[in-house]
Order: sequence, then structure tokens, then C-alpha cells
Amino acid sequence: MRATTELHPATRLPKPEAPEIRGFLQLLSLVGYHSPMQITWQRWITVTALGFLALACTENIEAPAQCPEFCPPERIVIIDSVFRGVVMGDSAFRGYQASHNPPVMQFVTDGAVLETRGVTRFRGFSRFIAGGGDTILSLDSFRIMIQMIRRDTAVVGLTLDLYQLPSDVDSTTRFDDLDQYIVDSNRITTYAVDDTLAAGVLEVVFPASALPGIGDDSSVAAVAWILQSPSPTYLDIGTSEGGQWPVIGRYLTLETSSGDTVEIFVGDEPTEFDSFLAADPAPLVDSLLVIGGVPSARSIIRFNLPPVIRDSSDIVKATLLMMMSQPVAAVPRDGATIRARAVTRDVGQKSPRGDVNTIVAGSGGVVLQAGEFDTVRLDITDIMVTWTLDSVLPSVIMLSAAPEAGRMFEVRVFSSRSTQPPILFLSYIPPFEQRRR
Amino acid sequence: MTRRIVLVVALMALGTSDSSAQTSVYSVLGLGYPGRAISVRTRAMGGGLATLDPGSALNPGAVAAYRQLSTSVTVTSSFREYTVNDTTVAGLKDTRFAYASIGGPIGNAPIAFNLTFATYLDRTYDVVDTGRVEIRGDTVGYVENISSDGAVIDLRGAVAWEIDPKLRAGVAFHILSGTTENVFRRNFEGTDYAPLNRDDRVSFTGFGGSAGIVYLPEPYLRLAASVRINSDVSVKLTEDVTFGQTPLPTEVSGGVFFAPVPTIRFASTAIWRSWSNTAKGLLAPDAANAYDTWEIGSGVELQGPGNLPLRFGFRYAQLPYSPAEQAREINLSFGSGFGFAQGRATLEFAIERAMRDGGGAEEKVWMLSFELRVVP
Repeated sequence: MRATTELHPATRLPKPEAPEIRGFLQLLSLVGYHSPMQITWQRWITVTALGFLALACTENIEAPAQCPEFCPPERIVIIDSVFRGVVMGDSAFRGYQASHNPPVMQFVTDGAVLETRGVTRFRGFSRFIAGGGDTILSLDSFRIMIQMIRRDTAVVGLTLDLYQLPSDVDSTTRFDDLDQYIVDSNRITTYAVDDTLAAGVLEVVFPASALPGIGDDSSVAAVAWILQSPSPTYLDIGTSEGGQWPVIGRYLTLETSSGDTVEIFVGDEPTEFDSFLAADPAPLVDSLLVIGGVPSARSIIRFNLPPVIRDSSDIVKATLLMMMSQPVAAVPRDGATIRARAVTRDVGQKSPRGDVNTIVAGSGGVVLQAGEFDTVRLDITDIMVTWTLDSVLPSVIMLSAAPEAGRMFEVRVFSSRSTQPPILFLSYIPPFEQRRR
Repeated sequence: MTRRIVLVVALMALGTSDSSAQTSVYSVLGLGYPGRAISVRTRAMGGGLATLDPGSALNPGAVAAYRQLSTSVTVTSSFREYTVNDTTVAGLKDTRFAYASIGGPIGNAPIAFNLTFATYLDRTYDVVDTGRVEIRGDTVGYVENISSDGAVIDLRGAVAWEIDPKLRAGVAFHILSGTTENVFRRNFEGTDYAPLNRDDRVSFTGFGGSAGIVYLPEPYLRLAASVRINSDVSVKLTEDVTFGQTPLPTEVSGGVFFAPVPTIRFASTAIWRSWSNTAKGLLAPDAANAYDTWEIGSGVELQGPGNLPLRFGFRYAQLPYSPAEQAREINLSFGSGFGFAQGRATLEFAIERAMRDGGGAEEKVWMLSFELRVVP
């Protein structure tokens, strides 16, 4: 059984000439082969065995399961369960976004849920210096351009009434403050919105006489926008925050040095302030959670989850059920989305929100339409999955509307201090040790 | 010489992935698929030499046969296919460290020791399943992947005493330890439901004791017997959560070795294990399908040309877990071995064809085992 390992010098292989042959023989020499003549059958078996082992290092044990006979006995059990009383310490706060903050403002007709009035204050006109010898003969007219983002195309016959406002209009101006200016004597023009236009630029041109005192250097134009239509509706208009600000320009008549009379356009001056004003919202009450509105309200919901859920279970689906106290307040055929975000630190009203919704798809929020009066079913699966993975995060979510404060949309649901508190509907898999019991 | 042995060991290590034994379709049931703590020589003889082989970890009394220090490591590769419910899965393969041993005499006293490392229970599987489940009143399809990688390892320390030339006795202490990495993945249809991703590390801890004797009434005849008792194995999830205690089987074995002429050697071993005890710690339906097992292996070793040993074996074994009637395994084996490095190293090999059936499954396996034994 013992193989010969000592080699007689005469049996040694002459140095091979070809490098590849030399390398192969050097490899063989590592396991004791100094000459092909010395390769005995034992060594062939050794090489074969080692080669086999080297080749067999790959593994393939994955196979289709043959259930239930040849499956692990620990089968997954998904439990659907309604958790009542797990919401505690919920509250609503208003003022996160004012009407002049969002990238879009919504003009709403009188007669809708909440009428709004658009306000735009343009930057002061800059000095126009005519060319050498040119003379300004007259300021003829103005042109205001606004970007219509969205409208309800089912409603036609829309008009925009423009009223001149004082140049000091700003974020402290309230809805009622405009009453004194929304009068016929103050009307600049009425602009008819093209019924076929779903979105695009609205170009309002009116004579300079309609905006008295404006047009000279450093003068500031400010206007109010009142939407009128046969039936309640809205127009979403771009704002300076969204990079789609209204602009105003001037048409002038010049006399050139050669004696010719020409008409030129000078502008466009951008917006310094734009907003839309609505009547003050109803005050917050303890028994209700409020989401949306202008200025925007958010609601914070704190959960007191059983440790077995928070720390050990696998969440398959989590739905927060909230009972509305009144129909969704929004312009007819309009709506918005309610979204939940996990709070990374619970410091009450100013809690920072984590963007955990991106972890798992499927919980982008719930879309609610005007007049809906039902149970709000908000998917918070992503958030709860994150909680089970990160024990540091507080079990707190913040509900907000999207777009926030850019749309007249508000939802009111009952809080935990009401007779119809929020409910958590969970589909989950209990921890392994619990499944064994 | 040393360089060659190191190279051989290194290549054997390259070809393996971990310490589990070969997997089986039956690995997914109960506590797992029982390993075989035997040398490759014994494997080639159908396990017939198990109670008499000092290099196997069945009978501590056999350890007294050590005459010089030696160490060995075994690598086993398996290539298998199985059929369940008219579905055949082929092309499954894996390579594992199945067994390792070091033993030898203690000084000049008639005492010897042996330390072994063997797979006690293989818990390696990787299955993919599809199905539908009801969630909130909706029927939702899913694809899931369940896998377990690991084993319960039997670390044995044995001491044996040659009481007189005709009687050897030994005792051994066993430490049962190991972990399995359990992975569960389930993806539901669509995006309405969160996928499940669960990774658990399950650890096993237990102890055992065994004792055995070898009686040599004649130079051509040896008889052996051993018994092993185990504690309950403690099963823990991620170190701090204990599932509970699961009983392990008691083991009783007996064997005979007969060499009518020096060039022909017969050996046979029978083993009984009370696997049905483990049912107390199992989940349904495995708990109702745990069986005591008998294992009988016999083999012959012939002295071939050039002192080349030729070994043949046959083994019949019952399996402890099966979804229905008790499953069985039949092995046909062949092997040989040769020495090199001036006799300080031996390479043994065994080729086995295993056929398992029962409980609605049929499994066929080719197993190739190599053992490198070195005398330092």
C-alpha cells in the first residue's frame, strides 16, 4: 500500500523545453511527481481525488419544495387583527405651510367649499432709459402672464376678475382685508379663460388706464384675482416658489431720434409676493384630527404597540382606519392625498419626519375626493416594517396633505379622545417562538 | 513529505463548504438527517466495522486499539436526485467535511484517547415553494424560499483501556453543539403586502455519554457492544430566546468482526436508536412521524493484489423522520485506500450508492468520500 516517494536520480525528467509543459510538471511535482515515468496508479487516484474535490466545491442544494410532506413544519401563519386603543396622544397642529409657501396656489370660486382670492405683488418697475434722442410718448397698456397648472375642464365659462390692490399687500393681509378693494371701481379687467385650455399660460392685457398710478419707474403693481364661473370650480396657478411666477410688462410708445413713432414692450417684471387667501379655518378641537387646509394642519398619532408587534413580528400589511367627522372639504371634483410619515424624533409639533415611505412600495398615501364621507384607510405598512427593524424610532407618525397648503382640501377625523378613535388593522406574522406554542 | 500532506489537506479544505454532512430530502423533517460518525474504511464496508473501528466514533471501547498517534479528516461529496409526488429533482450536489478524528495511545500505558468531530444531525436544506394564502379575505399568491444551513455537531472525547489482551473498554463524553442559519423569504404578488425577510440563527446545545467494550475471544474474532445516552438538546433562537428542550435518542449497538483467514475480514454492526423520543420536542406533523430506527451494516475487506485492500459493504437503515410510513435507506458501497509519504499518510476512499424511500419520496445518491489519515 505504500507508494514509492524516493526517486532515483536517473528517473528524473529532463528539463522540458516548452514552458506550458514545464508548468504542468511543476504542478505535478507539488504532489510528488518528479517524472511522468513515476506516476503510479496510486498517484493517478490521488490526483483524480484532489481534482474531483476541487471541482466539487460548488454546491447546489436548492430544490422545489414538496409541501406539505417535505417542508419545514414551521409554517407561516398570518394573523389579521384589529387593534383598538393603541393610538394615544394624538393631536393636530396648524401652521406648517402658509398659503404663500407652496409651489401652486388655488383660485376657488365663490360658492365652493371655501372661496379664495389670489394676490400678486410684482417687483417695482425698473427705470426705462430710451435710446439717445428717444422720447417716451405714452404708457399704453400692461400684460400680465400667469401659468395655469390645472383646472377642471368640465366647468366652462371661467373668468378672472383683476382688482388693483395697494402695493403693501403681503403675508399679513387677510381674506377680509381685500373686501374694500373687490369693488367695481377698482376692477382692472375681466379675463375669459379659454374653455379648451387645460393648462398653459394665461396672458391678460389691459390698458394702462385700468391701473392708475402704476407704470412709472419704481411703481409697484399689485392685483387680486377673483375666479368666477357658472358653477363652483378652481384654477391652480403657478407661484414664484414653484418657479412659475406671474410677470407683468409694459407696452410703450416712443418717438425715436429720427422722428419715427414706435411701440415697444418692456418687461417682464417678476412677482415679489403671491398667495391665495381664504377665510380663516375653523379652530382645531380636541376630539378631531385635522389634515390639510390653508394654512396647513398636520396630525400626530402616537401608537402604544404591544412589544410582540413592535419588536418581534413581521408586518405584512398595516392599515390605519380613521373615521371622518364630516365630508372631505375640497372643491367639487377635486381632492388630494393624505400621507403618513414616520417621525424620527418625537418632539411634538416640530417633530422631524423621516422619509420611510420609500423603503417598501405600496403606501404612498390615500387619495380623497371632495365630499367623500367614509373611513379613511391609510396604508402604513412601510412605516411599521421600519419600526420592527429599528427599535430607536418612536412609534409616531405625522399625517399631512399633499400637496400641502396648495389646495383647498381638508379632512377631519375623530381622535383617540372621541367615541370613534382611530383603529389599527394589522396583518402580521407572530414571532417564531410564539408560533411554536 | 510534509509539503505533500499539507497540500492534500489544503485541497481537501478547498473543496468543502462547512461541517454539515450530505443533505437529503429528509433533512427538512424533524430534527434533521442523522449523520454517520464513521471512518471512510468503515463506510466502504457498509458501516459493518463501526463498533470495532478505533477511527469511528461509535464505540469508545474500540479506541484502545490505537497503537500510534494519527489524525484524519474526511470529505464527502454527494450527487443526488429525488422524486416526490411525481416530481423529480436532479442535479443536486454538495461537498462537506463529514468527519475528523485524532487519536492515539497515552504514554506507555494501555490507554488510548480519541477526539472526533462528526455531524450528528444535518439540517441543511433550501426549498422554494409557491402557494396562495388568504389575507384580509383576499387570496394572495406568493413565492417563498426557506433554507437552513448548518448542523448539530457531535464533539466526542473518548478514553479506552486495554484491560487485558482480550478485553477493551472505553467511555466517552459528547458535546452536541451547532447552529443553523435559517432564512425565510416570502414575496407576495403585487405591492400591497410587505415581503417577509426573516433571518434566524438557531443554536443547539446538548451533552451525551457513551461506553463500550470490545471482546477478543480469538485472534480471528472480535465482539463489540456500546451504549450512548444523550441529554435533551436545548434549542435557542438568537441566543436569548429558548424554544425548549428536545430529547435525543438513546443508542445501543453491537458488532462482530470475523477473519477466517488474514486476507478476508468480515464485519457487521447493528445499531438501535430511540428517535421516537424526540417527538416530544417536535412540531406537528413531525411529532407524529418520529420513529425508532434500526441500522444494520455489513462488509468484507479483501486483501487485493499488492496489498491493496478491496472493501465491499451493504447497509440497511431506517430513517427517523418521514411524513408517512417510516423511510429506509439502503447503501451499496465499495472502497479502498493506499499509503504514501513513507507510510505516514493514507488516502482512503469510498463510493456509495444510497437509495432512500418512504413517506412518498424516493431519493438516490452517489456519495464519494475521501479520508486523509496522517501519522505525525
